Amino acid sequence: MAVMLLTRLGILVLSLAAASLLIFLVVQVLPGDPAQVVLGVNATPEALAQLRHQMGLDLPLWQRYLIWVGGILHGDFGTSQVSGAPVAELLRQKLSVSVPLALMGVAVSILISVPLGVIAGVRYRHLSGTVISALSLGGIAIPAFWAALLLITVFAIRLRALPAGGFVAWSDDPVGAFRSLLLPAISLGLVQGAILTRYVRSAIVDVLGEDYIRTARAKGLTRSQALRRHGFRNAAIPVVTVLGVQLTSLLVGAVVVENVFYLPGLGRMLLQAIGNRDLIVIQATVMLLTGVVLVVNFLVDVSYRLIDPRIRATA
Amino acid sequence: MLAGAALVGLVIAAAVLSFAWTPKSPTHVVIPDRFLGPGQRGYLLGSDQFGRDVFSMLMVGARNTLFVGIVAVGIALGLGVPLGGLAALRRGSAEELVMRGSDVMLAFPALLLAILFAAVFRPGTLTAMVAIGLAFTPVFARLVRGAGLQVLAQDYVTVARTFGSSSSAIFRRHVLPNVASVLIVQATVAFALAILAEAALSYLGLGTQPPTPSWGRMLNDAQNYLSQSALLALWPGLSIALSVLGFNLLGDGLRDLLDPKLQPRESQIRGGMS
Amino acid sequence: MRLAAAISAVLAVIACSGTSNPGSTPRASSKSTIVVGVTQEPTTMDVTAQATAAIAEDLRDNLYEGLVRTDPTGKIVPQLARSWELSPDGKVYTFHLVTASFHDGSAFTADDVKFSYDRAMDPKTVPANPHVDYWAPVQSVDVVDTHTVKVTLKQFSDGFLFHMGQGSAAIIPKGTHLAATNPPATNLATNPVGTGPFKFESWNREASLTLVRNDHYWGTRAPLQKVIFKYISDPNAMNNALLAGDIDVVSGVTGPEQLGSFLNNASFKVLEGKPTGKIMVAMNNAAGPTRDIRVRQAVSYAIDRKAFIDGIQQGHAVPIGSHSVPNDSEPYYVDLTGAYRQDKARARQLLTEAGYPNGLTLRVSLIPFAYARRGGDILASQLADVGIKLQSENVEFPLWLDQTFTKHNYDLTIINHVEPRDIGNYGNPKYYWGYDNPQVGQLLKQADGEQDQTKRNDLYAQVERQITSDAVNAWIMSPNSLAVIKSSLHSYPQSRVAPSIYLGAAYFS
Repeated sequence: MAVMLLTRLGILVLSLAAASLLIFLVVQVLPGDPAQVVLGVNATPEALAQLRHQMGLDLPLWQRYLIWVGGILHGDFGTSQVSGAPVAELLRQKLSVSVPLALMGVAVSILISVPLGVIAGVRYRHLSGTVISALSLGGIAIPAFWAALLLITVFAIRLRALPAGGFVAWSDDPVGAFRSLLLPAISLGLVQGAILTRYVRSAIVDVLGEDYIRTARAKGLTRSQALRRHGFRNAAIPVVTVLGVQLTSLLVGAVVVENVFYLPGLGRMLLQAIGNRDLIVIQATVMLLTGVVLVVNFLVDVSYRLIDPRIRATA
Repeated sequence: MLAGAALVGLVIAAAVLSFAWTPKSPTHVVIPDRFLGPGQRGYLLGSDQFGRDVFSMLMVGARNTLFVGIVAVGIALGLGVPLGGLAALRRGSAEELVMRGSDVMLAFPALLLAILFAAVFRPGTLTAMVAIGLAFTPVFARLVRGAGLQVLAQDYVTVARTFGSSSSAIFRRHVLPNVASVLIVQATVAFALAILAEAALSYLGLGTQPPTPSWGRMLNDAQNYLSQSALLALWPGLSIALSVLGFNLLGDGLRDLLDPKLQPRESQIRGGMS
Repeated sequence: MRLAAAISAVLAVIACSGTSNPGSTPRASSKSTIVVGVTQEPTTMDVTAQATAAIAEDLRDNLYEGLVRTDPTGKIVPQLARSWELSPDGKVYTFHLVTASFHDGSAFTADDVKFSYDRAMDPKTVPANPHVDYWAPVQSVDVVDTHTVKVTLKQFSDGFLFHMGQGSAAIIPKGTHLAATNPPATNLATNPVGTGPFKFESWNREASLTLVRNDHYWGTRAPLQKVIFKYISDPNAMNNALLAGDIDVVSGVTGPEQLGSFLNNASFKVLEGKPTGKIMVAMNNAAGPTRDIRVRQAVSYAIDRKAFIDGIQQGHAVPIGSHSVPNDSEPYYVDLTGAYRQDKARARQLLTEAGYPNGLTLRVSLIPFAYARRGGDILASQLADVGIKLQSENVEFPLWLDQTFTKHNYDLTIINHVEPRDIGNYGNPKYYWGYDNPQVGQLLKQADGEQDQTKRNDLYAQVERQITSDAVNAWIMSPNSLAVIKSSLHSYPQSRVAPSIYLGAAYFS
């Protein structure tokens, strides 16, 4: 087990290193001179050279890479080339929007998928089960940003019940902040919930076919009793691992939805940084998102292996 | 399956027809005809904020959507299949390289990769197609490698090898036919995801550039006029959803048809597209 | 049926309570915080470092001040200079300064003026002043005494004083940015220091900027205690934020299609002011197919301005035919909209003469503002009618600065020149249009040095006619400045000819 953990950890570190190298290389070939962007169009060559030096743009590539990675390991993501603010601070600000958004999205998707998935699983030969399956298939086909537009039309424009966009800081008005994340979270959660419903459904169907459920029913329990006592925990394993993977796809899916609702989160910052040619911010944001994906994958992978010995054997 | 085929067929028909004919010009601006409702003055689904025909724009948008899907999936297949084959046949360091490489690539959700590409190169249809294609490549490579390893373990392949068949011949004769059905199913699913990805990118302004109509961009435009005409946001979204649904249904149907042993299971490409 | 009636009655009650609530009766304690909805966020807090108009919009006159201020009609009025004299030869300005102090407590003196101007003129400054050309006419800046400063010009310049009222001509404390430490001791980019009626409190990036009243202000203290600029780029979201009471002001209406919800609502006032800015299809005069005057003329003839005015601004704009706007800041305005009325046949003929009988393809770069992106679709359609195929490229503003403005790598672009009195750019062949006409350069120099207003306007009018007949750019419209405010807000600037949203006098009833 320790060997497995160490191996997986080693792979995680290697993947992080490879990903960081890739991101660094990709971002460094971006056209456009950040010094020029900062100084504007009337800058003299002398001023440009001086700023390039100040920003470290005149160092060799490998040296800049090592400085960057070394900084990250110390929690220093560098300084934004456009706004002059420390990137770590920017990321912290943005995460206070993106993380609650992703978590609320997950909550919405669980609220949708667990009841629906269980019904669809238990009643998979009935009409209600079929209807839910069909609905979930339809839900998967809907882009989250379109769901967002429809929600805006109904709840913000017609009913004026929730804001159509923008964000109130948590410190200013927690209720307002929550309200401004509600529609985005629902748009994210609806689509993810549709995907999750299918997983829950097939997990329940699988569990219902297991011997222990049959044994429990033979002992006189009803199907729902058997399911409640023995089934849910077993069905939960695959669903929870999918949830882990979904959290990462939610973080990335939030890139689009944040732009629909003009939320000052990671996704919006990434898009603006690209427009502003703010290399340091682009690098940091992509690295953070990729890092989260890799770490979550690692955790899911490890817990899966710990729970299910069969996978350990074939590893 | 039939419903899926019908939806996909509809999209293809609209796209093909749009080369020859559209009810009105999809790009011609007629300011006095703005925000007309469906059916008014010959605008089948109404007109947009510049008096352009929404139906014609949808038709040309279908062409664009299919084009992106075909090229992206083509790239993913074209790179993924040989790489997967290489990994299965050569094993050793080649396999290690392909697999670890695909691990790292898998950590990049397609959308993130496409946004990065749009920043590095110019945003546009080509950039989007290449990025989406590259993001999907590892899935195909893994699929081919996995199936390839199974096939190569079979006795008849070992025999063929000892009789001096070249690696590429073995790949063509034994591996490919065995993975073909899985590949077709996966390609259909990838197609659906590529449509979603392109729509999201165009919505963000990083995909298809104006004035070429694209469904994602139509949605972006419509957002500004939700209080004038909410229908403008309905049609392109519906087009995207129905095409994706079509390809998904087709994929499910093909899976049942081609490989009854396969349990219906979820797509192997992780989203991040939403 | 009865149920439906009951429901609608309830809804009506809710609707009434909703609309009668905000600001109908003045409360006992009047509101002291204003929340202003702004479309574009500044990229930095340093008004002397970047050309982005959004910086000056929030900070000039509120936080930073200059020797003079541009009032809402475009007139130059005193600010840190309470008065000034101009020598008879028009070369020497003597400014008499007010007694004031910076937000950091240090006293404002003539040394700060000299420091700020010298620094702005110096091409070696990092970061460079984006409008170093404002100081081009300046020979020297000399301190006479603590409250008197003398600016000597190479020759009289009509534009100099006007430009000193612009954003980047702000007075900053001496020593700023000069510290050898990294980051420098005083960093205006994140911690701005000025002399204005409001001082910096916090900047929550991509969300809001908060200023608080400067209680030690040298002039009349601002009635408002706190100013919050909220950044909302989407017209829809902005609209809803005002209706919901999250903001008190929509400072610039970018989607006039949204105005409907405010026009018949007593809680809000729509302020429609003078037109400002010049929205145009700028063309590359130095390279590519648009080098040929006939191609540029064809583009000009292909355009129907009314489609742009209605399609983008819902009619809230005036057409322009040259590089000037009918407001007080540009007294030399002449109406040249008749020079190129839409004439598709003429456009096609000109293209044939230029060697493109089968049409041609031109690139157009479009920045994210509504006028550019929406204008791109209209332009594509109108140019297609005369055989010009348009290849659009959506770019962010910094990339536009790099590719179009600096490297001149473009054919066409749709841009709003918001800076008033910037016709002088036509005398600079290195400017991104690449327009090189020595005669125009000569006329401009003559005009800027001319002290007689009538003669000066006449010279500028000659320039306007010349650039129009050379079809340097295809000028389209000047959008009316549009703002929506709560009815209880007073002394909010009606027009936006000034570079800033000045809030030093605003108050709620």
